[in-house]
Amino acid sequence: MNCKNVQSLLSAYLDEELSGREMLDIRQHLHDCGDCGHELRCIEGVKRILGSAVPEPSPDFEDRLVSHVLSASPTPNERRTSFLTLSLIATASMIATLLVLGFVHRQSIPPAETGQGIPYDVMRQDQAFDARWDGMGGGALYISAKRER
Amino acid sequence: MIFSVARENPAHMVADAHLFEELIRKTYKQAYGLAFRLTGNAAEAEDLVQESLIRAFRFFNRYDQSLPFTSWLYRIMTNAHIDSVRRKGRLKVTSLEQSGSEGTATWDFPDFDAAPDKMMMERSLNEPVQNALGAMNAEFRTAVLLADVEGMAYEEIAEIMKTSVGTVRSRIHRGRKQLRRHLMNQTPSTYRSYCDEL
Repeated sequence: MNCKNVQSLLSAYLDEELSGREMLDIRQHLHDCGDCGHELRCIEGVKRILGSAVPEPSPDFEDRLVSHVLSASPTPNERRTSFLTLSLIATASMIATLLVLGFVHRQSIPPAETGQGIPYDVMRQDQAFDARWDGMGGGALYISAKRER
Repeated sequence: MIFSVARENPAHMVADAHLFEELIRKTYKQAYGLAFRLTGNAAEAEDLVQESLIRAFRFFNRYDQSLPFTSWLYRIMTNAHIDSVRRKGRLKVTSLEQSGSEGTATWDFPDFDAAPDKMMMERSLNEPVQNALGAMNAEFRTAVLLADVEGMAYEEIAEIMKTSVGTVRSRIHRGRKQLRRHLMNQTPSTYRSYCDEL
């Protein structure tokens, strides 16, 4: 390993985050190279400074923190989310109910000719007229696929 | 029935509150230490700890209790910090060439076993280091601090920062190099002597 390679790995070496082989190679290089040894001590210095001497919080911080955190109410965002979730559930239930009711209602209306019907929404207006059914009645309308001309 | 979805079990809520209070009291000092290094001043550090714990309390049902609470809390805290930095659009305006920012820190040191001159050097290097941290990219700062203040392994940091171990390694390496360069520019003699003492 040359100095450039070693110096790019010194941080990870210091943190023991390299493979055993790399650790050994770097240790060997550091034994022989004063410049890289100095570089290692400089990085170690940064690490030590950061790891030491962090100021203490103010004495009343602990109690203030406990009181604020435990009394925190849900954010407006969370309340909105809950409301939206409930609204979606309610809307979905209503749609499902309407679909079921529509299906039941549709089953209760006999087709114009059993087994030969086609749905109203796929036929032309003149066919509806031809079926002699009230097109505004709201129910599903069936007419014979074999119509007399 | 629909509305029962939104109901919480009050007994669980009380138990969670007791457990959470215990966790706060056990971890707040450590969390404050990291927050102080991340933000560079006491007021912002307190706000960051408080905000992170409030978020953690709200989503406490998502916490996997087989894992360390601090890892989970730090994930929330570092995300909150990075979000806040992005939101403010500030990568602190403090130039790396400036030293001695006003009122950023009140250093209150515990006793060290180290030699007094080494302690003094550390003391005098702390402020330039904190200034350099403030001027650093938030992702680099977070990775370096999780390694150096919390002593976390790269894999753990990668998990917290939702990135790869390779990225963590690169961020830590580049972050420390920035700090080293800054100290060499600002306080070359103290920094050199400090390194020689190691």
